[in-house]
Amino acid sequence: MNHRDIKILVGEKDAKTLQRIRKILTEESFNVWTSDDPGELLRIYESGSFDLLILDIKLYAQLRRENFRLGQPEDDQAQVIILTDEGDFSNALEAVKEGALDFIEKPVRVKRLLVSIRNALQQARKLQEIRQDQKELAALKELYERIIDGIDYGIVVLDPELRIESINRHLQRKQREDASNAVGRNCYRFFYNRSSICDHCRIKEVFDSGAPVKYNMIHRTRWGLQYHLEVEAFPLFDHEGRVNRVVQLSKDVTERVQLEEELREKKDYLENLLAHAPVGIISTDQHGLIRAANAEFVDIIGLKDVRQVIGLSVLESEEFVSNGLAEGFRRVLSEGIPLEIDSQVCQFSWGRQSICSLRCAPLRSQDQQIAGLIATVQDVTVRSHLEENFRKRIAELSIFKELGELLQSTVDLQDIYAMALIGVTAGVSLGFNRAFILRYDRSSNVLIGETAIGPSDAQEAGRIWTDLYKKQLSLKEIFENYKETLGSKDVRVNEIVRRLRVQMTWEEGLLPEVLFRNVPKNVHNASQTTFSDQRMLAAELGSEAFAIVPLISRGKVEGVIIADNRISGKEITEEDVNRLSIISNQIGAAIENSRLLQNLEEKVEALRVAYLDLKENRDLLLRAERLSAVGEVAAMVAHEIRNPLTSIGGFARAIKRDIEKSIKVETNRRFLDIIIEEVKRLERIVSEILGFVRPVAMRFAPTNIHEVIDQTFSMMSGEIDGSKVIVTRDYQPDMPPIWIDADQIRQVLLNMLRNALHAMKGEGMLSVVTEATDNAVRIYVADTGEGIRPHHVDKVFNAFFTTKTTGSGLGLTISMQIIKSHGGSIQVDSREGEGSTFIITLPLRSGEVSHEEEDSRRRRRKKSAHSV
Amino acid sequence: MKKRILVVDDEKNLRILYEEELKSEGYDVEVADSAESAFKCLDRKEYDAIVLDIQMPGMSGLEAMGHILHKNRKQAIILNTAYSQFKDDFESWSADAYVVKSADLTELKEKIKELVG
Repeated sequence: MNHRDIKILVGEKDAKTLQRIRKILTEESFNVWTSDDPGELLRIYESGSFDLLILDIKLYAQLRRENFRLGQPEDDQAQVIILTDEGDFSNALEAVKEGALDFIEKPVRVKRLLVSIRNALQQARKLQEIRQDQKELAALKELYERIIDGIDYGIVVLDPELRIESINRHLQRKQREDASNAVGRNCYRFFYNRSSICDHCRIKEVFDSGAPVKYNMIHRTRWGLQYHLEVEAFPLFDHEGRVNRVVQLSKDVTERVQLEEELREKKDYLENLLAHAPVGIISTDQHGLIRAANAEFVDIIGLKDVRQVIGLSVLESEEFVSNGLAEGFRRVLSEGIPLEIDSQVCQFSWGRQSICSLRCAPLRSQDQQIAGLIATVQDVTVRSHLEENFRKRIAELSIFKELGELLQSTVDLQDIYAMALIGVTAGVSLGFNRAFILRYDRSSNVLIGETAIGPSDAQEAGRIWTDLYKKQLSLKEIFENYKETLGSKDVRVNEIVRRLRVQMTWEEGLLPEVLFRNVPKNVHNASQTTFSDQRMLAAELGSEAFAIVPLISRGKVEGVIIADNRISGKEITEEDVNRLSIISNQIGAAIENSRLLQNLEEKVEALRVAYLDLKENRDLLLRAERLSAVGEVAAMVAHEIRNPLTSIGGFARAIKRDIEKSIKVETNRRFLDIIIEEVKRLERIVSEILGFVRPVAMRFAPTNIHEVIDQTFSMMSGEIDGSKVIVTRDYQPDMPPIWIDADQIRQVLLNMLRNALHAMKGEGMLSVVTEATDNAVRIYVADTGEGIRPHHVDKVFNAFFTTKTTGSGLGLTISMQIIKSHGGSIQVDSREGEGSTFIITLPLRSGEVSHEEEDSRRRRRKKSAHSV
Repeated sequence: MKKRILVVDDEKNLRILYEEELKSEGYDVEVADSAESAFKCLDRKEYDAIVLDIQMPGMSGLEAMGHILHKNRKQAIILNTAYSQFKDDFESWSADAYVVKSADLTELKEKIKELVG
């Protein structure tokens, strides 16, 4: 150590001594401080840390009185060397006792001083080191004590008699009792209040064997509480290697045990849940290695034991890769994207094939990192099959519906057949490969191949079906497509179908069964049969399995539909046959509709023809009626004319004959008179007929009816005057003029009067009475003649009815016609033998009215025409 | 002995014509103007042939023929009519002959000759 770094304070009252010591120490290069005053000395001492204090004993005594104490070895104080006067040992020794290191007699010798200083400094260094060690030890001790007291373990040190030697605070606190009396007591007494060693105690074992033990024990308190203790005991050895103490560490693990129990229960519960869950469950770590799986999962994939799958990689295992699941799992693990697969056909090499649904989600740790995945797997094979069946069923129904709609669009038989074939072969539901229609010709009792659909070979089939599948065509589109490419496709099957021509017999066979007994058939091993027709069909179709159903329309068999799966070889099920029958029924109905419509069209055509005929006939009839009226007239005329003609001709012939003989001149004159008479009669008949047949233009004018009657009488005056007939006329006074055609009315009256005169045969009373009502005029023409027989009354107005030998029978008919054309009527009141009264009723102003009406009608028509 | 013929016709002039013409053929001819008067003649004597008009006032010739045939008379009946269409009437089929009236009496005379000789 460099002397400069050593700080020395010197206190001495004697200036010479002080001077001398300073000189010595300065020469030795120490850092020297001096003072002769106790107060100053103390201040200097306390202001800096001095390594050495050299102090006069008298000053020491003064400082002691000022409570100055020499430092103890443990104190961090300067070493003190006391300066004494010669021979003053007692005080010096007292000072050494009190802590001074040395004393030096005055006068101070240099060597003595320097040796003492060197010793003091050495002493001080040692002290320093000891102090340092002590400090460290104390800190260490405190640390251990803090550890031991603060630790969660109870620590107790026992001697071989199991007496407590020391106990830590944790245990004291636990014990709740005053632990001050613990030391020296037996541990069993202190802890458990027992008089003997505990049953499960193994401390003795440690003493005996010298090996540490570790065990758990349950401690039940007097109050029923239960502690779980984890006990560890290890031996401490004395210098001879004997175990003289055992340290027992005990920890209360009740909470931990309880937690563990809870955890175990939860674990058991979850494991139970997992094991018995009705879905397959697996979980993996972040690398995709299966960490857990349940029995259901193992069962689904066809294994026996859960252990067989633990450790498999869902990312790399061939089973998951080949079933296309690995990629999904990878995305779950790497991107956290949940995976949902509703149905997937899974083929596991160690098990069966099944349809699975799968749900998979990532498992995340607390920091949201993906720590693995959990997946549930369900075997939905059954459900899937059900759904598949449903889908099929729906597809089927939609095909039936589509076909039904399509069938309604046509009545063409060939179209219907084509639709049937398409319905049978298209789509997923029926999807027969090929279909044939054979038509039954009833008249010749032959089943004739009509048309067919289907590919020739697998290659064509593949092409067509892929095409259909890609395009997702509807039946309608397929049908249109079919019509467009008619003839270019289905060549082979149509060749086959055209060859088919089966003469039906009533022998046993497949076709009679289907055709006549209406039994659909699902034929397997077609050629293995005694039925010759079935063998023939098998050979012609080149097919060992086919379905054949009757085609029935309106209860009558129309043919059969045959369908097979020659290309795909797919088995034909009974259900397929049923569906085929359904389509067959649809087709039957469509054929029926077609027939009905055809019939309807034929009937409509027939009706149209009939209507045209009728129309023509009606025209003919009208004409014929006219003709027949004309004919009737002609016949009548012929009759009427024939008699006179016969006589005229007959007589003329006779005259000619006789004149040639120049005899009977007088007779001939008479004959000639007859001829003249007959000719006159013919003239009259002809004029009457003309009046009846030819319509006469009416000339209406307001007319005084009485004048017309009077005129008629004057025309008849010759006949009347030459008879004994009395004529009376009784006219209505103030008779208004009426609208009539006077000429025609005169003709009527003439006819009436003539009939009357004829009926009276020249004797009787003829009276004419007129009468006006509000809207009509009546003319009564009454005679006292022979009257009309009751059964003739109805006939008198009929044409050519007459009781007279000379009449035409047209008079009253014509009269009636004339009066009707005036809007009037004629009635007859007659009694046989008493006479007849003809009553002519004419409307007042009838012509005017009818003309006005006609005019107003015309105007109305015009108006309406305008308004339209 | 002369064959006796009854002519029934409502036409007076025709009766005269037939009477004259058939007499000149050598027949004994009587006439009636209606069916009723013809029945009276038939009640009195028998005839070899009756020439019967159809269209007559009162009973028609066809009706009259029914009555005559009903009494099972043996004389021939010749329907003599202006109507040719009565020929198709089945009632007229009962007659022995059907002659359409004509100024040329040849056919009538021939039929009478044929039937009565």
